[in-house]
Amino acid sequence: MAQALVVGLVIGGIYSLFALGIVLIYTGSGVLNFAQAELGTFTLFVAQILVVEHHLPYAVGAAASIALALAIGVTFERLAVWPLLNAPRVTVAVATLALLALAVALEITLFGPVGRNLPPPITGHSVNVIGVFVSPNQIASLVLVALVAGGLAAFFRYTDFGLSVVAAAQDQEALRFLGIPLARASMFTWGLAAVLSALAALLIQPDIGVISPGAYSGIFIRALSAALIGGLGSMRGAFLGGVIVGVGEAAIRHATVGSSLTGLPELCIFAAVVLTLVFRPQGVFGSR
Amino acid sequence: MRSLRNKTEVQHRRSIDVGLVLLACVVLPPLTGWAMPDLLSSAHALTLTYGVSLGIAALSLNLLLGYAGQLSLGHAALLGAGAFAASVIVDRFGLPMYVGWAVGGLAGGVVALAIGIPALRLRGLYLALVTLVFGATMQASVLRWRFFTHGSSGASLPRRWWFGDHILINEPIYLSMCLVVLVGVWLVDVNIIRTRLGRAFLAIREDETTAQSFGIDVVRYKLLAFVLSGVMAGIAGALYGGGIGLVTSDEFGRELSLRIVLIVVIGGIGRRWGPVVISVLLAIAPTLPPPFRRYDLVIAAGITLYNVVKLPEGLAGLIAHRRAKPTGPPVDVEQLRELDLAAVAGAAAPLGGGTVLIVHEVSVEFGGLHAVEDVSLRVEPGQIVGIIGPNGAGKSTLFNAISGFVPSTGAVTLDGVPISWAKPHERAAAGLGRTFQNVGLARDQSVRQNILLAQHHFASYSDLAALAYSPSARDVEARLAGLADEVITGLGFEEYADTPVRQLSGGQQRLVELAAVLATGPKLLMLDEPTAGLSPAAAENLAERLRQLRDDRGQTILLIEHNVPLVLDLCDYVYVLSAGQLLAAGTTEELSAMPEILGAYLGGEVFA
Repeated sequence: MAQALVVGLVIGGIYSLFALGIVLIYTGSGVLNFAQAELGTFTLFVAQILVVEHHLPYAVGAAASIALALAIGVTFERLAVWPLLNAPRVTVAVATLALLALAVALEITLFGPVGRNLPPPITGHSVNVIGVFVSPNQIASLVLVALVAGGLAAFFRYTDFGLSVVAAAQDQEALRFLGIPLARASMFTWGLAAVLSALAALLIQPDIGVISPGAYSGIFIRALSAALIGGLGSMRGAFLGGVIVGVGEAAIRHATVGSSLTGLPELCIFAAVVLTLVFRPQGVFGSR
Repeated sequence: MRSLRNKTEVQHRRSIDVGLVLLACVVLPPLTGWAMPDLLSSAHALTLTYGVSLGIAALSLNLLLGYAGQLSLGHAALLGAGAFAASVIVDRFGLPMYVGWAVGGLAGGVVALAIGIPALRLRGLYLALVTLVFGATMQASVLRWRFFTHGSSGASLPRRWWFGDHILINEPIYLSMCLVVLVGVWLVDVNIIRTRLGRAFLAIREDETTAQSFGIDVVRYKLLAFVLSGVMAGIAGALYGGGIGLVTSDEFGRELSLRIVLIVVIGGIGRRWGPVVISVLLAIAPTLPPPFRRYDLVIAAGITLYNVVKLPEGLAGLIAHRRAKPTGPPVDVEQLRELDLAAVAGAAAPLGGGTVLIVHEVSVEFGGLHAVEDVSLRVEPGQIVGIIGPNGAGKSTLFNAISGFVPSTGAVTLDGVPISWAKPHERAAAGLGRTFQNVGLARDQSVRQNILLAQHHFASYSDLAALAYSPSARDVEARLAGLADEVITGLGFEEYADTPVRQLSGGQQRLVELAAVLATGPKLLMLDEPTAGLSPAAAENLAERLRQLRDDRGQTILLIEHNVPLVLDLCDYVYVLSAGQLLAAGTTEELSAMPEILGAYLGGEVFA
C-alpha cells in the first residue's frame, strides 16, 4: 500500500502541473483549454525524435520540446484566443478542441500511429526508502514538481507581473490601471501553460512508457478533474487537487485490484467531480 | 381570408415535399443497389449508413451547441448508451430493431438527464467538462464490464426486422431505414426551432440574463436541450451499432466525440444541411485514395480552427454574413410622435387593486460593500415613478434586486404577491417586465423573433406538442405570429421585421425592447434609462408616449433616468438615490422645492 501511495504521489504531482496549466488559462481567459495535455504529447514526440533518432543529449531534446511548446502556446493565443477576446467562451473552448484535434491528427500523420519509446533521462536502480522503492526518475520528478510549484507560488505572490496576471482574472480594468497591457498578460498565461504541459509530459513519460498519439488523454481527464475538485479559480487548489487525485486513484486501484469491474478508480474520480459540482462548485480549495 | 388559404396551401405543399423526400429515401437506395450494384454495393451502403447515423449525431450536437450554446464532449458515450441499450433489447430480448432504436433514444435521454442535472445548474463550460470526464470514465469502466457489454469482444446487435429469426441482411434497405429516421429527426429539429423551445434555446445561447428577463427558466431549457440531444444521440448510436451488427466500447470513445464537434463546426453551427453533408463526407473520406485518407483529419481540424476564429457560425455562416444589411438609422422625432405604445401593448393582466410594487428595506452587498442599503419604495397603480441619482448610486443594482438578478435581503411584493424568493424568470412571468441599460435583446435574432421570444409565457403548449408541432401548438404559434405582426406594425418597423436586432441603431433597439416587453402586458413596466441615446427632442417625445400609455391604459411604470428635468416633468413620484441609500422622495412639486438635493447631488452632471 505504501508503495502504491508513493507512486500516486509522484503521478499526482505531475497531474498538478497539468492542472496548474488548466487553472492558469481558466483564470486568465475564462476558458478550459482542452488541448492542455495533447500539446505536451506533441512536443514529447519531438523530444523523442531528437534524442532517439538524432542521438542528441536528453537535455537538448527536453529543452527543444519546451521551447516548441512555448512557441505553439503563444502562437495559438495570438491567432485564436486574442481575436476572440469578446466572443462567447464556448467559441474559444471549441478553438482549443480544434487545436487538440490538429495535434492528434498531425501526430498520426507525421509520427505514425505506432507508439515510440524514449529512455528515461536518469538510469539506475530504485532506492529503498523506509521499505518503499523509489526510482531516481521519480525522485527527480518529485523535486522538480515541488520546485516549479514553489516557484510559481512565489512568482504570483511576490512579483508585480505575477500579481497583475492574477488581478487580470478578477478585473481587466484593474490591469489597465496597473499599466500592464492585457495582451501581454494573456500571452504570458498561454505561454506558461504550454511550458507546464511540455514539462509535465516529459516528467510523466517514464511512468507511462510508450508515446503514441493521444496517449495522454487519460492523464488530461484526471488533471481536469483535479482542477475542478481543487477549484478552477485556485492555483493552490489545482496543485492539491492533482495530488489528491493521484494518491486517491493509486489507493483505490490498490484496494480494488483483481475486481472484475474495471475502471473503478475512474468511476470514483467521476463521482468526486459530480459531488464537487453539486456541493461546492467553486472547488474544495476555491473561494467564491 | 386570402392569407389563411395561402397558409393552408403552404402547409399542404410542405407535407407533399416531406412525403416526396421520404419516398426518395425509401425507394432510392434499394433501387440503386439492385439496378446498379457497382454504384451502391453493400460496402458503399454500409459506409453511407455510417455517414447517416453520424449525421443524426451531428444534428443532435448541433441542437445542443448550435441552438442552446452548450458544449458536450462526451457525445460518443450517449451514442454508446443507445447502442448498448438497443443490443440488450434486440439481442437478448429478441424484440424488433425498431424497439431497440426507441429504447436506445430513451437510454441516451436518461443518461443526458443524469449528467445534465449537476452540470447545467451552473453557468459556463461545466457541461463540457463533465461530459468529457463522463465519456472517458464510461469507456474505462461500465462499457468494459462483461455482464453489460460482453467486454472487449463486443455485444451483438442484429437487425431483427420482425420477432424471431427475421434478420435484415440487405444493406441498401437498412440504409433506407436510417435515412427515414434522419428525416424524422430533421423534422423534429425543424419543429423545435419554429416553436417556443427553439426561441428559448437561441436566447440562452446569446445571453442567459436576457432569456431570464423574458421569463425563460434557463436551467430547465438547458436541461431540455441536452436531454433532446441525448435522445437523438441514443438513436444515432442504435442505428450505427445496427449497421456494424456489433457494438464495442472502443467505438464510442473520445475520438468520436471530438469528430462530432468538428463536423458541427465545419458544417456550420446552428445549421442543418452543413453538418449532415460533412458527416457523410467524413464517413466516405477513409474509403478514398491516400491523399484524402491520409490528411482528412488534419484538414478537418485545420478548417475547424479557421472557422472558429474567422467565421464563428461555421462555413454556412459565410452566406448569411454576405446578406447583412447596413445599420438602421437613428430613431427620429417624427417616428416617435406617431408611435402609439398602447397599440403595441399586450392585454394587461388585471391588477389586484392595491399597491403594484412594494420594496421593503432591500439591501445588496458585493463583497462587504453595500451597493444598495435599506431602500424602501412603493409604486401605486397607474403611476409613473422615477428613480434618479448620480452614477454609481445603485440605481441599476436596485433594479436588478427587484427583478431578481442579484441576491438581496429585504422584501419585494408585486401586486400583493411576495416575490423575494422568486427567480428572475418567475418574476417576469408574474408580470414584472423590464428593459436593460445595454438593451436586453437577443441581438442575432430578428425583431420578430425577439417579440415572439418575449411571448414565451404565452406559448402555452406542452413540450411534446412543440416537438410534434401539433395542431394546438400550430394555433398558438399562428396567434403569436399575428400578435408579433401587430406589434411590428404598431411600432412602424415593418421594414425591419426580419432584420437581426444587431443591425438596428441603438435607439431602434431600445424601441424594440420596449415594445417586446410591453407586448407581454406587464403589471409593472421597469425601464432602465429609456431615453439613453436619443436626441433631447426624441427623448421628450418618448416621455410623451409613456405619459400617454399611463393615461390611456393605466400602465404602471418604474423608471431610472439621468435626465432630471424629464423625470420631474414625467413622473408622479420620484425617489433620489445616492451611494446606495435613499436620499429623498416626493412628488415633483415637493422635490422642486428642494433644490439643494437636486443641486448638490445631481446638478453638475445632469443639468449640463
